[in-house]
Amino acid sequence: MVNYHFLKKIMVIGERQSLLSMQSYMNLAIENSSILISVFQKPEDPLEDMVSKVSENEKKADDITLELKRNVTSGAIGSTLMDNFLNLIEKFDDIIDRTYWISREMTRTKDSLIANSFHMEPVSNFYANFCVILEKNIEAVKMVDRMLQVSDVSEAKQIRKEIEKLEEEVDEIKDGIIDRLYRISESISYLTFNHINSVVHTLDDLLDDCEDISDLILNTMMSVSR
Amino acid sequence: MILYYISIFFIALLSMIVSGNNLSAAVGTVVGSRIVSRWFGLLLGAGGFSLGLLIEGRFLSNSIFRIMPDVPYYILVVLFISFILFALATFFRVPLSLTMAIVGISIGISLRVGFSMDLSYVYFVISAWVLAPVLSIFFSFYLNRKVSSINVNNAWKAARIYKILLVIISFLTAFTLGANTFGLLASLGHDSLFTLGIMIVSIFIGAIFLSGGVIKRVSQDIYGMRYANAFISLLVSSALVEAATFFSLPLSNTQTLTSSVFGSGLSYNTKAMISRPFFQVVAMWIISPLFGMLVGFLLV
Repeated sequence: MVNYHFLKKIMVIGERQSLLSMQSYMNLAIENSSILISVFQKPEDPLEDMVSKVSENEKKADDITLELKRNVTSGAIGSTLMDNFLNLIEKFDDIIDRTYWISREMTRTKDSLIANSFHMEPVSNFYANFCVILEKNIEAVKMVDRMLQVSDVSEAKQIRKEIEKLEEEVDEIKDGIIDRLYRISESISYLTFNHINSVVHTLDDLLDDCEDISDLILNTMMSVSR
Repeated sequence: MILYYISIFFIALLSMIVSGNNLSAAVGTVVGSRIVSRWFGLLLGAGGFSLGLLIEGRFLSNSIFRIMPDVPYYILVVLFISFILFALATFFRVPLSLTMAIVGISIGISLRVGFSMDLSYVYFVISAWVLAPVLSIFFSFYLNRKVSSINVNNAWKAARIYKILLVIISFLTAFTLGANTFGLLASLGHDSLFTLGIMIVSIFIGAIFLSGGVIKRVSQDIYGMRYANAFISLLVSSALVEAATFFSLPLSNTQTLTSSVFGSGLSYNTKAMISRPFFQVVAMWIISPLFGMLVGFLLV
């Protein structure tokens, strides 16, 4: 009688299954980014519900991370690729963690701005740019999602290039924001300066993570196929 | 008769040690890459050794007696010295080749007792030992370069094919090692059914009880290669050992496998290899038979 478990191990590619299971992060990343877009579009609106949703998603991501790490280290992946996969999981988790950090930063900043009677005008312009970055992040996350599903190496290479292009665009937006921030630094508070500076770097990190993820996925595909 | 049973005892001990030490060479990749479980790997390897010994071991049946006299006392001396050398090598973690040691000791004994060896056969064996690593490196290098230039479209389909091929080639590697190394060992027990039975039991005992640490270390450290590289290394190694078996030549499996792994490393465009361990192993290929020959010569 043919051993079912043996056949399953041979025919089911552990690496592919593990990559597909990372799709569970995608919806969380997209939802958190969309929530942050709403927050940046209307910072005056109450944030509590949105922040608690982001926080809830962050907790879900932590559970997913725990489960995936357990799978990877307990037999799904060979020793050669294990580091690759653990890095991959960390990067996905980082994306969600960063969106959570931004949501917390927004709550703190808003409270502080209101308490100190500061005006929102100087920051709202930057917030519009943050929305553009977040939209590009959603686009990049969707590309990562597609990359997790493809089998064709050349298609994966193409998607990786597109993500790289998005990351470069965001880099330019970030540089523009920082240049502008330094130009108006005399007229804004330290709190506002630090807030914009920290958030823009964190938003840029989101795209960096997507780019790193695309590299790791491509490396994995190349590694198992040649 | 008593000498015969003592010889069988040493054959059993050597079979256990060789099985435990070499299991990782055959199935390390499939266990390390989690294609099969450790227990399935043990069965695959020990099964391969046993089948190789039973089906093709006879090709080596008369090889050793072309080098040394077929005298029970000398056979016992060869086995005893081999066991001591192998035990010391294992203790000091020196990569000694049993095949080379047995042939070296046999030559030493023959030189001491004035036995008329089949010199053309001895030269043939030595030539094979020199040629096999060179061929291993060459074929492994060439095939790896060839495979890496192939444009793979469907990554997961390729991975699935490699996985199946790796299981098959791991079994074949164990099979060729069983035919050659265990075949040589069985020839010292005159390939009797009793000898073969004892050896098969010893192979399984060695695989189960003596392979644990080695299989884990080798499969995770040395064979941390891509599927394709691992497959080619095993393919080249097992093909050369199989060819040697057909010519009744004792050839060390570790010699061909180490060389083909080295050839794989050379084929990478970006080389981040530490060559020192390879050259240490090469040094042992020269020292093992010469030292065996000296000990065989002095102790008879």
